[in-house]
Amino acid sequence: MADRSVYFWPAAGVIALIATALAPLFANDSVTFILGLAMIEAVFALSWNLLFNYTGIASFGHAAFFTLGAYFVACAQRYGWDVTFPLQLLVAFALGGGAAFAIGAVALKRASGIHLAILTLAIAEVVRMVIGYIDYVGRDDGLGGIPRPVVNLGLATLDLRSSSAYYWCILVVCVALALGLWWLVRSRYGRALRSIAEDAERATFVGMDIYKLRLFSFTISGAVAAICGGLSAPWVQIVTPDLSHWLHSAQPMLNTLLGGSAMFWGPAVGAFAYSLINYSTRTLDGVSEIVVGGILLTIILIAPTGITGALESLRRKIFQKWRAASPWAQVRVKGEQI
Amino acid sequence: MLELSNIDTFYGESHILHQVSLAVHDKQRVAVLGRNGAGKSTLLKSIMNAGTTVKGSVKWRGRDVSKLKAYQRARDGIALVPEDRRIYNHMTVQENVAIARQGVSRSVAMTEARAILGSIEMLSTLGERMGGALSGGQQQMLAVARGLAAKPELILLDEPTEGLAPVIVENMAADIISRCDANQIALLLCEQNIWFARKCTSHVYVIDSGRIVFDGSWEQFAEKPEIAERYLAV
Repeated sequence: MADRSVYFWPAAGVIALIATALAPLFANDSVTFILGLAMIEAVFALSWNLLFNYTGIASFGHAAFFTLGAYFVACAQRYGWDVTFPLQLLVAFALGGGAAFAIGAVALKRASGIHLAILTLAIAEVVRMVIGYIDYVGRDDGLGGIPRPVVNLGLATLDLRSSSAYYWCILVVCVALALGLWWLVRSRYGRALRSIAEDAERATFVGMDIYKLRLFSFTISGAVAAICGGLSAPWVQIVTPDLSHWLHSAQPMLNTLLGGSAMFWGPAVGAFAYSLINYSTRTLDGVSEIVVGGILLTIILIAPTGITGALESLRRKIFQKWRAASPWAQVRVKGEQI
Repeated sequence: MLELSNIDTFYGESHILHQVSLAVHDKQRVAVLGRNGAGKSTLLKSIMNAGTTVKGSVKWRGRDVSKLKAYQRARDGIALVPEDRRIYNHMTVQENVAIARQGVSRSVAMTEARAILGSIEMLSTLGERMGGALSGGQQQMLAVARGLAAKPELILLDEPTEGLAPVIVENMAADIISRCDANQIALLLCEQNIWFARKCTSHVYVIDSGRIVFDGSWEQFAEKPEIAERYLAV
């Protein structure tokens, strides 16, 4: 008999996707807003985990790429640059990828481990401080009043000015990006990256150029982070230098820890869980941060492999018991006895 | 095919190999015998340019490869199977082999991996098993199979028999010889197990304290029992 337990995660994913897609129809505006942000943070965390789990690189300054994309789209929308929104996202992708390539080309040659992590953190802080000096992007105050886009498709016009329309735009782009990353980690590049993460020297002995592969991963990860930033600017309708703050760089790490780094979708699950915890505790004036911290600490201590790791071991236990108790298993045992 | 002339190898300030010269000819199988710490692994790492500083000439197919990095040497036809096996635990046996095949599609790599595994008795039925779920002997043969997957012209084996039961060592010798013969691959084997090295190779070097102290055929080695007594006895 086929092992039906393999359908657990795909089924959970489809249900979650449908529920997320239908959210604007039944949820209030603030829940919809939080879900939109959670989708963006989910893909941002997936892009960080491409580096962390699949390539063995820890970046403490991933928010720098997010910020580049966010500011580009913010300026384009706010100042009415003659660039359509899809093209803005593509340029954000290229900007983030280009910056990651330039940084990675130098940094990955010169540094690794904690040194590389601190280097990326320093770069993100530099980005934050430089933005603070530029009048055009509002210095420390940031750039507010960013309009949501209207996309002219030639035959039709896609009006994304309403919350629900832009929400579905975020959903489509985030799903496409997540599936792209999912495909990547399953491709031969993904397998090569994982082998580097596990043992770089061994990968060298089978002919892998670990520098190029790490640079490739760094570039893709930065590009995806930048698109996430590009998506967030019209959603939040304001960008500030704090997007590049180390606290924002820590967010994908926290989401990854919370959701679990070993499974591909772990960081995305973590992003939604974090948003849920944050939203549920928002009314606890003065103590919400302590409560959020306590909840996160408890979850991480109870489930060191993250929410997905805990669910996966639960799924295995349940299906093992179910298989043992099923009539088919009884027939099989009797047959073996005969 | 491979020619080392007077190489000196360093780990930082430590001088490990001293004026080592060694040659492996086309399709030849050569052993390097030595005690623990004699410099066998360092010799193989020097050939691959993996983490060591090497002075002297390393020629591969008549060309000086001193400036080539480890991955470039691997792509050029030299495969190193390191001492500690380094199996990918999260991959199946087939995937472990396929990952060493660069520059082809996944399906081609997997087909070739199945063919290689099918030709190795110890692994022929284990293609779908996870790498981490193999015994020591199976892991060692898997490491060899991964080396073969890159279609090398020379395979470097670093103490493949370490920690394995005698019966497994016997099977491994048969598998290694048949694979090298079938694919016309030269072999450079670093070993402490004299029986295994003699079974697999036709020429032997003895290394001690980073210096080559014997170079000859197994017949010449047998004529000088004092070599084994002095440099290989525990």
